[in-house]
Amino acid sequence: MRRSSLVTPLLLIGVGVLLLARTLHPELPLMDYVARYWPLALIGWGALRAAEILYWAAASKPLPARGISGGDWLVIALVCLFGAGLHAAHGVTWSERIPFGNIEIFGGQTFDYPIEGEKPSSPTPRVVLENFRGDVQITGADAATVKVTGHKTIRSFDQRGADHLDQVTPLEIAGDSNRVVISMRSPGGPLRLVTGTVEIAVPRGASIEAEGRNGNVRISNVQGAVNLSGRGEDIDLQDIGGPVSISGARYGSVQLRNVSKPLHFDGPQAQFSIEKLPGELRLAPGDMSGSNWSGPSHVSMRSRDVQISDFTGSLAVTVERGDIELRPMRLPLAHIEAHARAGDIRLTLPPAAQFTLDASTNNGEITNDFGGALKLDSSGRRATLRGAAGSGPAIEIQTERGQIVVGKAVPGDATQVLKKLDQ
Amino acid sequence: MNPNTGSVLSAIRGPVLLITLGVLFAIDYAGGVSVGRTWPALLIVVGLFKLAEHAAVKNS
Repeated sequence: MRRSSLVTPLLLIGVGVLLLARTLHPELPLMDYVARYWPLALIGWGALRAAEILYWAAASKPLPARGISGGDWLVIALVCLFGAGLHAAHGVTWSERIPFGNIEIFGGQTFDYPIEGEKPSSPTPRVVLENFRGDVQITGADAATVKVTGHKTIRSFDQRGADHLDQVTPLEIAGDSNRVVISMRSPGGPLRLVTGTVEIAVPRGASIEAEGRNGNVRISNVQGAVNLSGRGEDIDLQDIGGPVSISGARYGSVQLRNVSKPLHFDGPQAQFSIEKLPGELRLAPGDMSGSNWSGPSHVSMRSRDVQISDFTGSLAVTVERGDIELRPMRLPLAHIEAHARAGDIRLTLPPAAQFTLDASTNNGEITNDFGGALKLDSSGRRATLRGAAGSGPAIEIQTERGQIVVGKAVPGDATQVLKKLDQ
Repeated sequence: MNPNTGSVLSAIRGPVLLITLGVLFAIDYAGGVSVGRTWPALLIVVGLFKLAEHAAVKNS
């Protein structure tokens, strides 16, 4: 008789509990946890099975010929495919904590309360958002005050409970005229009972600082520095006069337009820095696109397609998995580097561009529009394209696995890319 | 060596491989080296088990 294992029933129970939790409380960020920690299930499965076998061996009971059957391996392969796919989609490493603060396991109804507050400030105050949960829109204006308007949403079983929560979570505007601190305490602890949706009007010269937030942040028309850290959803920054620094995991999209000072983004799956961004940049879960950048710029992505057009100054792009498409449109060119581990690289240059090229793929083909000035060598699956068109800066392109296209821009290319950005 | 050692080794090989696979993914997600680079460790584990099973059969 085949000895029955404890592992299968335990796995079934575990999967059942997970699915039940998901159907009863769809707002729980369970998929975030599964995407991050599923390898522990493999370790647990293996450890449990190994313990079982050692126990049987110690008790001199008959042992199975194979600890993990062929069918089990099939299930494991499916688990790996599903888990790795989920991880790629959710894109978070273990070092990024999933805050319990985002969990909404509370039923009841929602009640809305207005929020209003104002504080006189200097023309260049530092506006700090602390302990604020919800969506924020900050706009610079010709004013000498920091003014907050909006509403608070409270989850509660009844009106009385909501009224009480409203009283104990006042919007506080503290600090002095040079440093204005806006906060709204949430007594919910791990529960997200109180969230706000606010619009904040600040003097145009203000700098903004926000950390540990959950929600969408929109900031426009401020001349000071913008510093965002922690976890959040969408970010939309427009017409920012000071340096911008964004760090932490973002689960939505990031859109940046017209940033006059250096810009740094440091997320678990994407990092970039740009000297100036007169144009725009859009970072979505599957791709990044941008146009009209002033370098030097550095871009490093783990698993995204990257498209950048109309950039000046040097540019270095590294992508682990994804295609790279670069279209510098203005001459003279600057130093360009593009590296992909698995992905195609397409470089489209103005026809009159002068440059020295060193392009190679370890597994793929190279297409060249610049003719005899560049020498193509292929041996086996490897191909290189080297040479110089006039005397210009070095361009280095390298992919481990993928095609390389070095093309000439034709009229209409720019509008194509810009159209794509607008979508 | 215990004559049972060979069959224990052969039965436990799958679970140990599974643990190794889980550890490789865990290292990747913890911000270490990606599975795409560490997968040969699985071959090494299989090789070590084969060696150990060979030695067990020889000594039994």
